Amino acid sequence: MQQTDKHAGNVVLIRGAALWILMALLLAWCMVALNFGVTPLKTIFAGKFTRLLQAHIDFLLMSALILGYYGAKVPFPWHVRWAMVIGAFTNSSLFLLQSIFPALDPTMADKVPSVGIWSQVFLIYLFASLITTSYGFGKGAVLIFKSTFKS
Amino acid sequence: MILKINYDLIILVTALILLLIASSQPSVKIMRQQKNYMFVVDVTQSMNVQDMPFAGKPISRLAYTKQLLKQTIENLPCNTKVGLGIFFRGSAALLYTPIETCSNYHALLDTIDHLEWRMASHGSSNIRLGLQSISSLLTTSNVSASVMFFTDGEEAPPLNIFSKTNLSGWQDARGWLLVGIGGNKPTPIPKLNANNEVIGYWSTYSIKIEPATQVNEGANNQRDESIATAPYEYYLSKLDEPYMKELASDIGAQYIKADNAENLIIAMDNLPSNAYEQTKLELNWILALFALLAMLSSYIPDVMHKINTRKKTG
Repeated sequence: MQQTDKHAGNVVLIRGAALWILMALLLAWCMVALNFGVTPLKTIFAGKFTRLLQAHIDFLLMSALILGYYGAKVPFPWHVRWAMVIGAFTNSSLFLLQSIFPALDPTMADKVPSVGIWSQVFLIYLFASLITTSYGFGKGAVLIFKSTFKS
Repeated sequence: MILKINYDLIILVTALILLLIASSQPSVKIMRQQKNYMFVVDVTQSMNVQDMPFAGKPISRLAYTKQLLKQTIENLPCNTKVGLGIFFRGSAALLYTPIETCSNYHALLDTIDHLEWRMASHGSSNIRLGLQSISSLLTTSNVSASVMFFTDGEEAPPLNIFSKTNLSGWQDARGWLLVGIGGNKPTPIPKLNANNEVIGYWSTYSIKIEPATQVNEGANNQRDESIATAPYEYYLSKLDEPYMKELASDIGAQYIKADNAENLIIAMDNLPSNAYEQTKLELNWILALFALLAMLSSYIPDVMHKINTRKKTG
């Protein structure tokens, strides 16, 4: 991966943001198709429609955040950059997973059978995503804040 | 840089582990001092005297007691348990044994709202027998609670040497607080009919002083509807503080005049604690808090790395 001064070493951020915007657009089209009653999509997204909508919005929000960090032109360590990009995906994917597997959605607990061990796996994934996102964006914010004091 | 990455990685993995442990709802069992109170309210007819100030106008002693109880329960910390009982004649009736105030807040307030003088089956009042009855009732019900007895100290009929029960052999390890309700100015006691309508005032002639005679009962246990025909006949009532203090002294209790909920709660806190119970101390929020702190510590600039660099460069 070539990182130039033009990107302040943050080329992975702009690539990640571009990918997650494409992902958000894909989900937007999935929602349109669902509204048209496309059967295979109804089978895939068996959970609540609002979860899919949340995933779409979350991808857009996370992409916007990453673009904002990229725009600050502050060089971040590689682990912070990757934590942001991965965290942006995992956070949004939590809603996506709930829209595909309603058993993971706590609001659907009384309507669908439990999935046993997968609920635990989902919980670990959720916490890992929370920590990754908090680390990436939190640390990035601290570094931007610090950079404002440098002459 | 490698040191810093490893340091952050350790912190993040620690935070993840702490969150996972927290999600399993861990708890430890501890013994905790439990505050249990039994509120016993005098519902005899002298409690209908309107000599207590509330929001700028006089209200009845019973209505004032209800307000006081509600304010007190509102200000008690969660996990405090409160039971309710009523006193009339020479006995007490338990409405319920102590229950946790926060989770049963509305039930408690609703019960208090419905307290009224018509709950009493008889119009007489013998507080000394009532104290014994409360003690006996709590012992047989296996209730461990401090007793808060709200009364005006009015004995009806007035006690004489035959009817005054000797409490000198009192044996009750519970903390007792006698709470005096009523004004200091002698005031006539309203007499109400079965529909809760005032029909007049109690007459001194209807307060029979013969031992074992029940007030408010005529021949054949019929209700005595007679009222005072003139003000000079009024049977007057006030808070009998000297008698309340004597009662408190006889049973080793404390006495307080009810003026506000804050003072009452302070007096309640000073009562000896009567119960310990095993309870669960939830650890999930503590672990989540440590996870958050660990997370935040990863934001701290690389101090250790800078120190090491300075040492190497001399």
